Amino acid sequence: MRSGTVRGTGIIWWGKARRLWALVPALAAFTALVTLSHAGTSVPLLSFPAAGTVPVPLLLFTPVPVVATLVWCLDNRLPEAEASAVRSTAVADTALAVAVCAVASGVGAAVALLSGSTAAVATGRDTAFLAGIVLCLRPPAGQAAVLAAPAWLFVVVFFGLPSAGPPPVWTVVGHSAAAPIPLTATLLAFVAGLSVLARSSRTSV
Amino acid sequence: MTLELSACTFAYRRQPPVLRDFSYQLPNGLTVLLGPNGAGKSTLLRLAASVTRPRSGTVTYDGTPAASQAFRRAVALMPQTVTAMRGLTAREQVAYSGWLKGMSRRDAWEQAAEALDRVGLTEHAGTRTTKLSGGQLRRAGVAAALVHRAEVLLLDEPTAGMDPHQRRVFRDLLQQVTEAGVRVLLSTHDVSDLAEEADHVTVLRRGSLVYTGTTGGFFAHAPEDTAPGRRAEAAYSRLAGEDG
Amino acid sequence: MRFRSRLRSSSALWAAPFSLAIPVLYYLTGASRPAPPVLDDAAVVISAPLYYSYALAYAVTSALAAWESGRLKEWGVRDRAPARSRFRVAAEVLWPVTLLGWLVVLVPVVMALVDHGVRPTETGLRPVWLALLLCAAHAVIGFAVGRLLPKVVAAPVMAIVVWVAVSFPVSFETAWPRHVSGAFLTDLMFGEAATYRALLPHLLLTGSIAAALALCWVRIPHAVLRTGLVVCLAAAGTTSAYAMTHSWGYDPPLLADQAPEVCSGSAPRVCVPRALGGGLRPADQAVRRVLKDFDEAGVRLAPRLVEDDVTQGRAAGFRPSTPDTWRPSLTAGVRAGQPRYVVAMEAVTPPCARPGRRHLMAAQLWAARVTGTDRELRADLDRRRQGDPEEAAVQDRAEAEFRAARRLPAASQPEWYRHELRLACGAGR
Repeated sequence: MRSGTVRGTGIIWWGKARRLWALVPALAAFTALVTLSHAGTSVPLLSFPAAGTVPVPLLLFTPVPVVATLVWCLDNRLPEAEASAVRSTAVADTALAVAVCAVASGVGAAVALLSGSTAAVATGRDTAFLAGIVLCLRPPAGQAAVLAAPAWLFVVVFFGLPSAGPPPVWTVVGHSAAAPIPLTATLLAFVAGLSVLARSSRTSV
Repeated sequence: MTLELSACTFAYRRQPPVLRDFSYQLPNGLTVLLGPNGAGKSTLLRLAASVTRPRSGTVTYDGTPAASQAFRRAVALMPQTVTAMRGLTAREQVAYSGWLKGMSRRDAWEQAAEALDRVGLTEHAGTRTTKLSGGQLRRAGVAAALVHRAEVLLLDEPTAGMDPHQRRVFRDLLQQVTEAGVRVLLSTHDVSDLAEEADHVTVLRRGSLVYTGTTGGFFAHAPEDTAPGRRAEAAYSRLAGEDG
Repeated sequence: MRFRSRLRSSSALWAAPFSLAIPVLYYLTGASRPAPPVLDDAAVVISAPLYYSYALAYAVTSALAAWESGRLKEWGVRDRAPARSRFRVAAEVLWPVTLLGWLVVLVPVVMALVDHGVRPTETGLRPVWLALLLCAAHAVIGFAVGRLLPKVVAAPVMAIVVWVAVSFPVSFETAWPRHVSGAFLTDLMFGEAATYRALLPHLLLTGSIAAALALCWVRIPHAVLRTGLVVCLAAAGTTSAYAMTHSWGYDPPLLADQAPEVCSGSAPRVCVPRALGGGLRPADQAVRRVLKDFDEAGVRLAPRLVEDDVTQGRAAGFRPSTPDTWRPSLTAGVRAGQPRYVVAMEAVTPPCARPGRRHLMAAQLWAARVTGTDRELRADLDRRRQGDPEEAAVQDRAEAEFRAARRLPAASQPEWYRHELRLACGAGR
């Protein structure tokens, strides 16, 4: 039998099981995308309220790879062992989701600070909002819940963006970071998502 | 001290109940759980391990409810499908299972090596679980159930994919475990697993208990003229019915 | 697997309501309807809803293909040693996804054609074929990405990347990216249609990438050879697409005169768009009257075809009439009550592409006099000379030449007219 020192703490085993390393390239890609698009680079996309195309900031789409990778990490688990565990992985999973959104917010704030443009600040909120709705949908929809993130953006762009002026509050994403109603909606969605996550961490599938 | 299910009903989403008002007490020693496909064996094991919760009824161990930490420390499950965690070696995955069951990281690491040794996987301790063969992965699953020295072991088809030598080694291991006072409930399709080692037999059919008792009592259900080596199969066929 | 089983088990089934609702709602709310007035022109009627469907169709197809690829991977299809080829296995899971993409393309197009009672034409349907082919190409690309990344990551990322990548180029200042993006986004005018030459670069870029990725699955023993072939194929397609388009402006090569016409007579045959068919009789009468007036004045004109230029789209004015084929604005002339005038002016066809204005104007003044349309011409000239001294000077010189010609004997004036047209080409060279 091989002897040797203990390889890592228990939480590192959880981290390896979750394959947290994947978040590194995802957050790196997020950082690059936010940096490249913070200055207002936009893409003309079809919008019903505008009866044509509107310029949609690319920043709107940057949370998608991060949210998708977060969900993929959370899906890597030992379902039966974790469902019957003494040590709950719910706290670790919840902390992971919070940490990812915090890093995304930090990246957005840093880019905004360095560039002088405030547009990037909202990407953290958008990440948290999209993560929240995906996490809420995971129990009924399974892995397919991750498609709720681009689907929400489709709906926002197609039905929520006017040709001029701010979008309606129900879109949540696309507003300034300090807008109170979108911020509240984000908090609600994120907290709901985290509580669903904590609960589902205790179940086998 | 015993593991007990009281009036448990369980159904998968939008499916009829697999177990309905099911009550069961796990006896001492090694109990072999038999039943045709879809009888509810895996469901029973998962309920007993607190992996899933019944729609109604209770699952307790020594009066302790299934959701408690004491229950979860006491009971271990090897599931029917052992997940190979990408990124973890066999030892890491077994240790992770032990850590989840409340062991300290040091104990989990040390005991993981010992558990792998008990199932004959020492040379593969450093192998990534995704590189293990099916039989090796199942043995790693057994090791994961053994690592934290539970008082109740629930094993779902542990011998699937094992060669005859490995099955013999496994039976010896079971003997050691039961002699140490651990209660074992082992689900299998192979009635030869009954030979000699089992103390009790439980037979399920369509979510109902058709027999639970001693091995001798089980064999007594075989027809009188059954050849000695076929008595287990004959008894099972009679108890499980035509779909057995 | 049976058709229904495959459809039932595909992600395309649960994605279909959302994917189809968007283009349908778009059409029903009017956002993607052809702008009025909608004429009997299949290419225009089809292009409006299609404009809004490309990016969505490709994004949905690509994302779901990545999803299905991941499902196959999870199921471990390769470990089951299938007797069918990899391509067959892939096609089995991709056809429902591609079918959904096709529906996203076709449903609003069919709605528009039915809504406006227009029959599809071969030229009008060309962008539709492009979209259908590229849905299949995006399915292949999505499938390839799904083999590399977990489906939970690949599918949403492909949905966004493809959606943005197809939509983005139209906002670039550089024109060529919009001609290779996969979306034929030119707003067609009445009578216009897409050429195959305009559609081919889209197919070359996306198709070559898809073909290169598919080539990765072919069992070629030498990895270096396979890699080389893959790279060459992708490079050939993309560079060809660039080579074809880098010199284009914002508009690709287009067909003109594609709207259905109604015609009358022969020698010349007079044609107007069927959608505007009410002007055919007055246009025909105006043409024959103008020809008669010229003939009586000693100038024999014999065009074979007189065709309304309204179906030339944006090429109108860039393809001048020839002695054989006249392109007057017949419908516009009829509507303005000036059909003889527009025909008379078009009858003045010098033998060069850029005639000198003074001599041409002098010839036009004479033509207007013989056809009795000088009132309309002079009104036009007066409008043009307002605030433009250079134009006024040219008109004055032309007027002087015209007056001199009027003093010539009647028998000499036709020769003067022909000479004036030759001078216009000599001066304009």
